[in-house]
Amino acid sequence: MADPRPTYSGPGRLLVAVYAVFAISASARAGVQIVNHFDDAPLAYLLSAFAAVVYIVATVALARSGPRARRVAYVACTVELVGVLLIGTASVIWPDAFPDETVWSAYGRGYGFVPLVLPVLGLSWLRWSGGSGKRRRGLREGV
Amino acid sequence: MVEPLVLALVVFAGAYGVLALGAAVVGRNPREYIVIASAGLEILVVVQVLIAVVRLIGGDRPAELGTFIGYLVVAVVLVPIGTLWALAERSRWAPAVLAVACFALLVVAVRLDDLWSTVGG
Repeated sequence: MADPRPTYSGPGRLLVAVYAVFAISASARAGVQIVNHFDDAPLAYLLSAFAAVVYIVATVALARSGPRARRVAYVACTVELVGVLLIGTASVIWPDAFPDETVWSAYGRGYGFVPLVLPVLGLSWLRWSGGSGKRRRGLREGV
Repeated sequence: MVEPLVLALVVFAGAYGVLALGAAVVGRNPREYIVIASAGLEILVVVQVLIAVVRLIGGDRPAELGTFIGYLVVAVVLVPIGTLWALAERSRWAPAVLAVACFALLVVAVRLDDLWSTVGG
């Protein structure tokens, strides 16, 4: 069995770019919220910061090669999926607990639901690119 | 911000983004054109950002100064980083990266213009 395909090649190249955009925007948003008016909605802002860290880790892990980076990327994307589902659901059931928006509020509605789709794409891509040599060759010819 | 310049930037980035997306869809990776278009777009961005910096130094203050400066920094690095990241790729996914960079730049440009509108000029 050959080595898995690098997660940053082919479709992964685009995936890393989208992750990077989210890493930057989530970090900036959390930074501004925490510095300017942390007391307004501490829970929401801490969750924003947490989401930002998850996006940064996922971006870096997907942009690197090797089994360790791949494992980190798996964990980050899984945490991201669980996070967007949990916080999305919580923000719908208890809107009062989230007086200000986070990236993951209402399943990422403020960002066109991309935060909900992104971890699914990430996990699918990790699974697909990590397959056997045969599957990998098939993919390479298809791209 | 300088309105004609913002408009030029938005039109350029929008057109580039759509063309890049089209190239990705039909499976092309026109590397030379990517370099030329990115360079052209980045010149527009740098001119706009320099004007904004000069006016900031001159005493103009947009709403949320910290956010504004953050957007300026992102605006300057977005296209070069996207282009370098794309040029390392040999497939159709290279122009797709540029499409993402262009649409992100569009959002940044519109947000910068919003924040600057409180300055009145």
